[in-house]
Amino acid sequence: MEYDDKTYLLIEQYLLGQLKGKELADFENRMANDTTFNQEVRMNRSLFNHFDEGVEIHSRNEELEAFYQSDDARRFKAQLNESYTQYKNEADTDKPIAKVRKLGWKPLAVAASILLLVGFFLFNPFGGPAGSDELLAAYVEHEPLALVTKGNTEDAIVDIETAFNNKDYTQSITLIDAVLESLDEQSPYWFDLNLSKGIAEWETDNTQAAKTIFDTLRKSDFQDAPKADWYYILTLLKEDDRANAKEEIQTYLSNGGTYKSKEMRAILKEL
Amino acid sequence: MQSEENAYYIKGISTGDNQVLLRIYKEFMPVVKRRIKQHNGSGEDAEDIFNQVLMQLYGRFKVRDFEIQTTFENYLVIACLNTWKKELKKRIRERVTKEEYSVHLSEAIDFSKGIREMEIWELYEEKFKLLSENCREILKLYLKKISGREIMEELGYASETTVRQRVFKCKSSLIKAIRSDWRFKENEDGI
Repeated sequence: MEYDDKTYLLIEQYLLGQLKGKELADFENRMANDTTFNQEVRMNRSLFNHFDEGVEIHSRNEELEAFYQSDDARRFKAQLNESYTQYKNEADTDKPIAKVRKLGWKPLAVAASILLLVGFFLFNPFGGPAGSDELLAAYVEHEPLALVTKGNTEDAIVDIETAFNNKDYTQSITLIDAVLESLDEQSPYWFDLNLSKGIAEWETDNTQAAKTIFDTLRKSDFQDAPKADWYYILTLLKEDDRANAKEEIQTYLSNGGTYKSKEMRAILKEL
Repeated sequence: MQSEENAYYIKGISTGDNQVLLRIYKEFMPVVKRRIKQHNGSGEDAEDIFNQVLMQLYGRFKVRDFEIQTTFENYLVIACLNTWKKELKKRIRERVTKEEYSVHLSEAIDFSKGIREMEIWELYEEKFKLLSENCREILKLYLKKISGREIMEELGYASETTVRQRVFKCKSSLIKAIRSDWRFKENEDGI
């Protein structure tokens, strides 16, 4: 049954929790006494839920339940437990590589590049392509922020550098925002601060914000703009958007980009 | 028809092939963990959900005539996220009504419901994709509970009334398409 616009507006207000007092009581009363109306409300609720927490089923299915109590399902569960245990054990074996990676990037640059190759073999013993997370784990290492050594000793800048290098990214964003508010784009620190903010957003999983920042920076005329290209691609990988990451790397390399080009080629092979 | 890659994973799950299962863990567990962590879950939560979804998949392949319409990875990630959102909701609900702690549904019922919920989710997605681009755009915002005023401003409608009329029309088309599909069993599923 189709209802008029007014009724749908009422249903919407109910689902959004906007009905109060007598209006709410009347609505719930109608739901209790009118099956068709009740069904319409539930259908509308399921549509809202679909984009939020998913449709919820309230009934049971005998056929499926019977299957899950069968020997067949039990055997599969036992196999799954076995495979899962093996996976966990192998993941533990891989841990030393992650520990090595966590040390500083610069002093270990050469060693790390060798380890990356070993790492991929261990990550992919079955020879399949590396997952986006594995690629990120292997390639992401932020350079420490070094504005103070560039000669800026303002307290705010020192605080930003300390927070960022201590990986306090939420605090970094707040501090950087405060400085950027009054900083001219011509300032020698403008690019570095924005890049650091992008990295901090990246680290706190605000990939959309990070992408916007990196996109602006990579299109800028700054000498370090290719760094933003690199991070833009890492953000696409973080979003598991492998198709666009691949396309971006291809464009970057075909335009003669050299920053991190070796790493980009290696990632490209995995995509 | 299933892609070659999907067929490989489906066959591996259906036969309980250890090598394929290991590969599934290695390739897809990291991305599922990351996505669940983004939705207030822990690594352990992600592992539990991942295993639950593999159990659900096994049942779907065995009992239903089921084809994955997207890549295996996409399917797995969506199924894990949907299952996690349900779990999260259940936990919140259980925290509110502590007296219901002992009334846990059995695993078989959970898996069975999980499959049916995923089937309904797929049906909604399928019907949603059949709507016009304009309808999809406006409904997406509306169903995410964005206000009529914001929708009007974002999509450039003349008034909130126009937005409402458009939403009404699009939503009716969607509901009609869902209800007319043989896979939709409104009363049976208790939606």
